[in-house]
Amino acid sequence: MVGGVEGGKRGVTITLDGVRDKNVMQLKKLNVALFPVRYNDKYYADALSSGDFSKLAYFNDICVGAIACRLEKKEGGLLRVYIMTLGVLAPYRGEGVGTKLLNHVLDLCQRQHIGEIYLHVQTNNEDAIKFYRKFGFEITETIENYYVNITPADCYVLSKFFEQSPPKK
Amino acid sequence: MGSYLPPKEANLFKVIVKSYETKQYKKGLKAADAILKKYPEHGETLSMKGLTLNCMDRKSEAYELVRRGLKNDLKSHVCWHVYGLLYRSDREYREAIKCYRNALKIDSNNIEILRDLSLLQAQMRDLSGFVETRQHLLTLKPNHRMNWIGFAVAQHLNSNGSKAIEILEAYEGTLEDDYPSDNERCEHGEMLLYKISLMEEHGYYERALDELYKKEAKIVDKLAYKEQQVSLLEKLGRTEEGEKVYKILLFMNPDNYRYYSGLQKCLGLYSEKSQFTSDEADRLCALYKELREQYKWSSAVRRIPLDFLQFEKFREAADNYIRPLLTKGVPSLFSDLSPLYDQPGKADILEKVILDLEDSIRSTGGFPGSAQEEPPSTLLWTLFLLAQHYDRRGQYDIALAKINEAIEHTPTVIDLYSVKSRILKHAGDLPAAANLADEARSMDLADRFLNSECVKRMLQADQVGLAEKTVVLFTKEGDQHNNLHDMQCMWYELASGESYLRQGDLGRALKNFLAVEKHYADITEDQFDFHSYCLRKMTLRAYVRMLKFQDHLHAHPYFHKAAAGAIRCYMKLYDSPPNPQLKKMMNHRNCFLLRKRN
Repeated sequence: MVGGVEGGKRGVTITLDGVRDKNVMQLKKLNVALFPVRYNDKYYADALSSGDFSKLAYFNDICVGAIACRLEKKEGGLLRVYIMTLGVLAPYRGEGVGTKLLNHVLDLCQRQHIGEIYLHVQTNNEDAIKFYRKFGFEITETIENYYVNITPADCYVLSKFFEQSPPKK
Repeated sequence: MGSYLPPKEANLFKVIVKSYETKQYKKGLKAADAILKKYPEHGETLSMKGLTLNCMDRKSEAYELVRRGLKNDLKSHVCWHVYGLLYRSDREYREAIKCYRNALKIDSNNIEILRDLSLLQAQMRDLSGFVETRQHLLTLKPNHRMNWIGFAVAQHLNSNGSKAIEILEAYEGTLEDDYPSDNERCEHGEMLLYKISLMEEHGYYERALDELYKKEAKIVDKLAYKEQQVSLLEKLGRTEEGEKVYKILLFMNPDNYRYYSGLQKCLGLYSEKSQFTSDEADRLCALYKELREQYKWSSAVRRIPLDFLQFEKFREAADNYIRPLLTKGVPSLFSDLSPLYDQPGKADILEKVILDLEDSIRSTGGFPGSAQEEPPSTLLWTLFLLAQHYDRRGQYDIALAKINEAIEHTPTVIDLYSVKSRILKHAGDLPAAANLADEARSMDLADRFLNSECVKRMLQADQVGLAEKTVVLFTKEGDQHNNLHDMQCMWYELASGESYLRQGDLGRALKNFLAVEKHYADITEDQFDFHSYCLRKMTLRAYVRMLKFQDHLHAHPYFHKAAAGAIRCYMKLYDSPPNPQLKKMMNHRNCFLLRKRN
């Protein structure tokens, strides 16, 4: 999906593009720069198979951020979405890239009648918690010793539930 | 044909000919065998059977039959013609010409044979023979357009341009007043443009211009009309009119550098090496200021002044030129600027300009003297430009520091890795350059350019096996390696040849160099079909240009490289031959390649 947002003063264009096996290296480059964790092959396989739920964000044609999700089947065949990563390269923060990525996924959840979306965040990551709250996420759980090599090792689960409008048949 | 046969067999003979023309070879063969059953030594039938078999890939039988047929009927033009066709199919044009000539001795007015002969003469550049044959054809069939045109082109190629003009004018004399009809307008217009270009080539500028104006309504290609017009005006010294036409051309395409230099010539403001007096430079400044207002979207009009401006004025113009391109993010900016590095002093000024921009972005977030905040990518593109700048100046340490900082800033921009690879290559670390190129490639697996560049770096680092595996990612599946040869992928063959040569694998090196030589032979061969096609389609200017290009084909750098590489291989083999018998064989080939170079 491609959609331009005029960033006011400088005519900046932010566009989204899918993650495919031909460009998955872009996602890897981003993750190395953004996160202290090295992601394994399963992460990338999940991202690729999530379809439109994983996206790269381009700032004036430069890849600067990404959202990567995993689709999970709950009991009863319902789907929920897990945000594995959402990140934007440091120089490009504050330009609305993260918002655009998250909004894209939230819209998609709504359109596809998904009941729940959630993620993990380190308990001391206040910026992130504030960011997600803006979009209606709430802390629903605290997991102790979730992380292995970083402190604090505890994490919150942030979740957002969508009102279930009955799917049209 | 088949005149010595009784009616039944004569009819069968016609069937053979017809079947050959319609490619129903089996049917033809059957008819031939039917005749040969009764008349086993009938020459023309034997010949035709041979020709038919030739098309069915039974070459040796074909030659045997055709030769036997000819021996049995030396007075038959059919047998000679068939023999010629056989040679032609094997690209033995000289032999084929001899056969056609013999056929014509017997049947001098045979149009088909004359036409076939003329094609071969054009191919072999037997130009006086070509003129003769085309004249003969015209005499036989003056009502065919193609025969007039063919005769004129032949005269032109044989360095008799004024004769060619006469012929074309005589041809026009045969046309009705309301010619051409709608479906022939393009062809006729091309013929006129060709005729006018001939006049220009032979210095009849005035006459050419008159003719051009007179025929304006009949010339379909309006762009070619204008370009021809302005070229003639310039040669006639009518610069004021020339200036006007160049401005019209610029209106049509304000990014054509040739139009700008043409305009400068008309104004007496042209210099091959961009060296101007200060008065001239001022006038040029004023000219481009005016043009810039007229052609707002042109990049050429903004770029060209950097070529002639000096010192402070150059600094200012370069600064203004570079800024918006860094904001926008134009990866090709450095190649656009790189010709300026050949002019004394300009590289120093550019360095100062870009460093000032870098400083300002780092400290204020914007360009010097500007309140506008730059997007975060501007720093990245500035570092990218600086890296290439220092690379060009041979300061590889600084270049690497700049490109590394850029990668740190935005690790997803593929061009950064390509440039880093190039810097490492220039600095002499070929394996590292290959690694970086591979990293760039991995970031967009659908990009053929990145793939090819990576393969080239691998070959430069003598990683032939890896290069082979990488290059086939972009060839069609199945016949992987041959596919590159079929596509005449010469850069690859040259780079592998050179790598094998460095590694002392002379056999494989030679194989690659000779593959390139083969491509050039094929390119020469590929002209053949155009001799008839272009005359028919009237693309005469393009046709003659193509022939002239072919005449200098072996001056192309790729051939030069392949020949030099092959010669190096042969000399190595000669100096230390694996076995003495090879030595004799190689003498022959070396001579051949050296001759082609000259």
